[in-house]
Amino acid sequence: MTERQIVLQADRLSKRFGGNTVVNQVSISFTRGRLHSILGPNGAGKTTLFNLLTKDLTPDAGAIRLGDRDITSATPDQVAMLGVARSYQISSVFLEMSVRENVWIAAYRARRGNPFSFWRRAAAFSQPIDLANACLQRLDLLRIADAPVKELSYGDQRLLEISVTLACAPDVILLDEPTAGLSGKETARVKQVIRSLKDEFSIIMIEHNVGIVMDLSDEITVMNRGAVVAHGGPDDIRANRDVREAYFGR
Amino acid sequence: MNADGEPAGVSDAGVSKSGPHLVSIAKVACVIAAVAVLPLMMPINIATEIMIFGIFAMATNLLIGTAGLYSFGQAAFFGAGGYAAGFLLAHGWTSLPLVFGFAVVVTGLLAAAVGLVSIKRVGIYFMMLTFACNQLIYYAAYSWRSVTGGEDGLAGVRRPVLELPFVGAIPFDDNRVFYAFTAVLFLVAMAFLVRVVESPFGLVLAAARQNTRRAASLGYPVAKLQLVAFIIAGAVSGIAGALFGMLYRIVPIDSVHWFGSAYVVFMVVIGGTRSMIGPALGAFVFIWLQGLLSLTWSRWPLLLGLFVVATMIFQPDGLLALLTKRPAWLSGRRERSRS
Repeated sequence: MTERQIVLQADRLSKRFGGNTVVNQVSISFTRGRLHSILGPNGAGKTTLFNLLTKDLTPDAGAIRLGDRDITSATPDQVAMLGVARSYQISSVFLEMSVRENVWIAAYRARRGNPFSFWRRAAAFSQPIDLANACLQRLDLLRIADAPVKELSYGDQRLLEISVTLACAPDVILLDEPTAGLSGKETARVKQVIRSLKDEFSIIMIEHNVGIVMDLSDEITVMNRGAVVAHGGPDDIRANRDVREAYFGR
Repeated sequence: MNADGEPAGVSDAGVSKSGPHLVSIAKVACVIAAVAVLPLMMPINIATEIMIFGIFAMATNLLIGTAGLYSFGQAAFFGAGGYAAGFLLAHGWTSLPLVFGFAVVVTGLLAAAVGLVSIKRVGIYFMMLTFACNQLIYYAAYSWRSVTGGEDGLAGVRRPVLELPFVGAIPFDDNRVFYAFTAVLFLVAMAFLVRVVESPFGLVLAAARQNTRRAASLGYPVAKLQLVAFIIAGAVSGIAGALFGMLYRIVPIDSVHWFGSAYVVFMVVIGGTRSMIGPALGAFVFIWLQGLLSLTWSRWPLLLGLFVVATMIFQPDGLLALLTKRPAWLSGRRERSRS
């Protein structure tokens, strides 16, 4: 049996803000085709780890590898072009545009559109449209495709955020609390979508809804105070005492 | 999605219904009619000045309205364009493509240099850097008397000659002919800038204005795109400056002063940033009001300032929005202006 392929890997990654070490010597590897969740209480450094992996932040120490490429000194747009897409914890959609335009912008770049093309109208480019529509369809957003984003409910904006992430046509998807602030019905919908994505992408997910994490994850890493405290399958984690301490404070 | 497979619906610009429809045809007709009627309403040189500052304001709006880059140093490029073209015209080179080509190259390079220094800084730091570069270029122009004429301005600027096959040489010494020429350049500049705004490039600039980090995480090299926008805006401003020098046959040192940078931002903001018609309207109102008020009272800049303040407070979306929707103070509730 061949060894599982590592798609993204961090090696002794550290990040300090002033005197605070927010991410401390974290080594973690993500396997191709699996859903790997990161659990931990608020302030554990999960989102900072995401920001380091996508190069939104520059690590103070350590290295990041994407496949066999070192991306430690890459820029966020380069990381994106290498096939890493993310959703943000706080909705990061373009509020003054329509739903379709949001997804179109992601799809245009995913289809290797030239961002400097200023001599043709955007509407004249037909390649990204099928991808954009497919991603809207997947989150059931086609019905409101032409609505301005600022008129959308918070739940729909979160769904759009995921839709935009899919429109990047990535290999690796980082989801930062995809169900935060969603209603029960919307949460169920997102859970179903993530389940359907599992076969196509390598997914790394930060999520506080333990039920979703346990149901969907292949692997779980638990962080506390900037460090990895446990790693294993859902059953291992459920049985782990340290994890209970990190989560319930005792 | 409509029948021909293109996305419909638009907010900022970009991925909208393709092909001309009634509203855009009406807009084009209105703009052309306004440009044709303008010289009948006022002295021809004032009309020409409105066209020139319209070009300048539209170019600046690519930065302010689309990219969200509040540059307070655009007069540097307006003035540099004037000096570049004026220098050639004062020294006997009058070929039109040469003169404008030189102005575009000089201002494009200058904008590239200023942009490289300032684009990576955001907000107030970007403003201050563009402002400081403007001052730097002003003092360079002030000191470099052999080229710019220093305090006295670059005098002896002739108007260029357009050599056309079959038609022959067209001189622009007649002010009406020069107005027509400026008006054509105004319309071309507007068409060009509208196209830029509606292109993928313009759409991504607008996206980066709304959320820079998200635009980067979708794979866009935001700083490079903004630098290109800065160069385009600088070069088009340079064309406006070149025309200004030709209009009065002199490039005054004031044309590169930071006052000009502030005035053009006023024009953009009082007209409205959401389209290219807004800044053109702003230039019209500003220049026309300036002319009118200066006839009535020697302290006229006070009145102009009051007008700008009143517009900011009561009509933060710009005067153009008066034509398209009821202002907040009429409908009785206050909307926050867009940041």
